[in-house]
Amino acid sequence: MKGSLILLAWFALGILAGYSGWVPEAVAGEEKLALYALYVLIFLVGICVGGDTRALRNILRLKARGLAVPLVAGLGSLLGAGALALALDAVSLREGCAVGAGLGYYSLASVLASQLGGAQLGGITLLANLLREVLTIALTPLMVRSMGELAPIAAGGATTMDTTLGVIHRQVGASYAVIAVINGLVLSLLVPVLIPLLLG
Amino acid sequence: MLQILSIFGLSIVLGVLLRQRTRFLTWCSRAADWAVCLMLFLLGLGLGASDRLVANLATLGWLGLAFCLASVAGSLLLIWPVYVRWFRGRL
Repeated sequence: MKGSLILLAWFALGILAGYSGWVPEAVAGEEKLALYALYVLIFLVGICVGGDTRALRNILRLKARGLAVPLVAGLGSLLGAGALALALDAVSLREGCAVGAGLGYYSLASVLASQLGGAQLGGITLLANLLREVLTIALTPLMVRSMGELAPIAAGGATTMDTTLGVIHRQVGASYAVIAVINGLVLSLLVPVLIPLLLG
Repeated sequence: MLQILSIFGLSIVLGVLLRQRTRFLTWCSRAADWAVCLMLFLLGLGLGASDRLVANLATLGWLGLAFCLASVAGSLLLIWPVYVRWFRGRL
């Protein structure tokens, strides 16, 4: 949670700096700067993913049953957000699905959404996916009691391999914790693929 | 979109090739953390510098909450049959 607060503080600092005009307009309005920073970020994330061979092997070793969890949970997230977008005028269907495709990976998802869909969509993506993490941490016991052990894993999305893993492990045990880690890994890999596909 | 997917694919291959260089991978992980901070700062900067977006911050907050609930509800709804069919009482 501390990590999330630090990231949120950077975002808030950015809003404050932009609002007060601390940063020269030439920098604040320079969209290429953010785009190049995004390329660097994607490059670094990819190297980290490729370098973690244990994680890649775990995914490849999974049987259909285990792989079904992240794929179905991810699809559900897209459909849920897409359905809401259909009911709203403010967000198009593709934009809504892109917010859902953030899958809780709010840092990368918001950056991708803001670059490909504008600052407003980036802000919505950040908040929706950040709240997803908070909601999972707060409601895991309730979800396990009412909908079974897979519910918090589906709700947590990409965060189930790190920030929400602790609370999920405590509630559902080691066997499901393994599924939670794989779920988080697969969904983290899908975010930088799905959002550009939806908004590109 | 193509640039992002290409960079992601190529960097994964590069990561696999450099998997033994643990110090380099640790450095990449730290650099990625800082890049995320920079990107979120720039995202905030873009929002803060736009009068229209600042005026709509409350609306953005409500939309964020609504999309959070909708996407979680969608995930829960679809995972329920998977749980009943393949997992309940089996792990």
